[in-house]
Amino acid sequence: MRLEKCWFCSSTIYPGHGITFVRNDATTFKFCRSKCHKNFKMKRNPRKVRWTKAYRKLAGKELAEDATFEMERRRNRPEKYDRDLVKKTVKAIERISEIRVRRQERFYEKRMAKVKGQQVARDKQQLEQEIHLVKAPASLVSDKAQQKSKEKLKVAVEAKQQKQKQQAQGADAMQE
Amino acid sequence: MLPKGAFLKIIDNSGARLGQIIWTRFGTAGAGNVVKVAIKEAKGGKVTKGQMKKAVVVETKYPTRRPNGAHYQSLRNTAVLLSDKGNPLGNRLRGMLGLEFARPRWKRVSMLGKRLF
Repeated sequence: MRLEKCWFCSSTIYPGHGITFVRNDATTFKFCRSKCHKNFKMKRNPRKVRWTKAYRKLAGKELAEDATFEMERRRNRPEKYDRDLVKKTVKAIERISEIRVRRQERFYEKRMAKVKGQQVARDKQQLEQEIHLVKAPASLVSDKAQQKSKEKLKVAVEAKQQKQKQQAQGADAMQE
Repeated sequence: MLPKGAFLKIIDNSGARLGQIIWTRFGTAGAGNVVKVAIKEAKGGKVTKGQMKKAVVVETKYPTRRPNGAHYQSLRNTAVLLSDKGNPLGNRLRGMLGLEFARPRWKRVSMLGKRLF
């Protein structure tokens, strides 16, 4: 049993899924589902179709070159069966997949980090401009009134604290 | 899924170019099935137009199913001409053979051609 990669979208093809197309010049194309098969028949180029891995890697949206991909490269040299080798290979697969996933996630985070600040600013602007979509205008007015009274309270509290400070300073000066 | 009356491209060098199916064993023929064929076009070689020969279907446009659930299809419907005993008439093949021809029955045919995956 062998897990193949779809020619169009690069996803894994599990046994029993998909279709293989054999061209007259004997090149084979494997597809994971009819969506990919139909796109191929429409002569679409996977490098230009945005949801395929080919496009994403080409456009730098995903980790394209890494040492962890070497494990999945097809080797046409058959290995003599050795139980220990199989054990080691299975362990290696788990470990390398772990590393690969971690590296892919880091790549994504790096890519999205620059965008985060922009997103926050955009959200803030949207909130200020389109608040009427979330809250009714009447409640907005009452909100503003509440905000004003809060501010008044704040100012009063601050003034009181200032007064107390001055009194304390005065008392110290007197003592000296 | 080729019924009676379907046209097959003959991909060996027996001389025939096009054959029309005149008999199938089970109503429809797929890759690896033997059919009887009337030769519609021929150019040189051992075979002439109008003859009736046996042939084995090699490629079909309709997906062929493998026992492991895999399906594969081709761009055209092709066949290889056989003698009455079941041996290929030509000595060269122009096309690919599937694993259906890995069986001892088709040993002679598979020796002529290149195997698929």
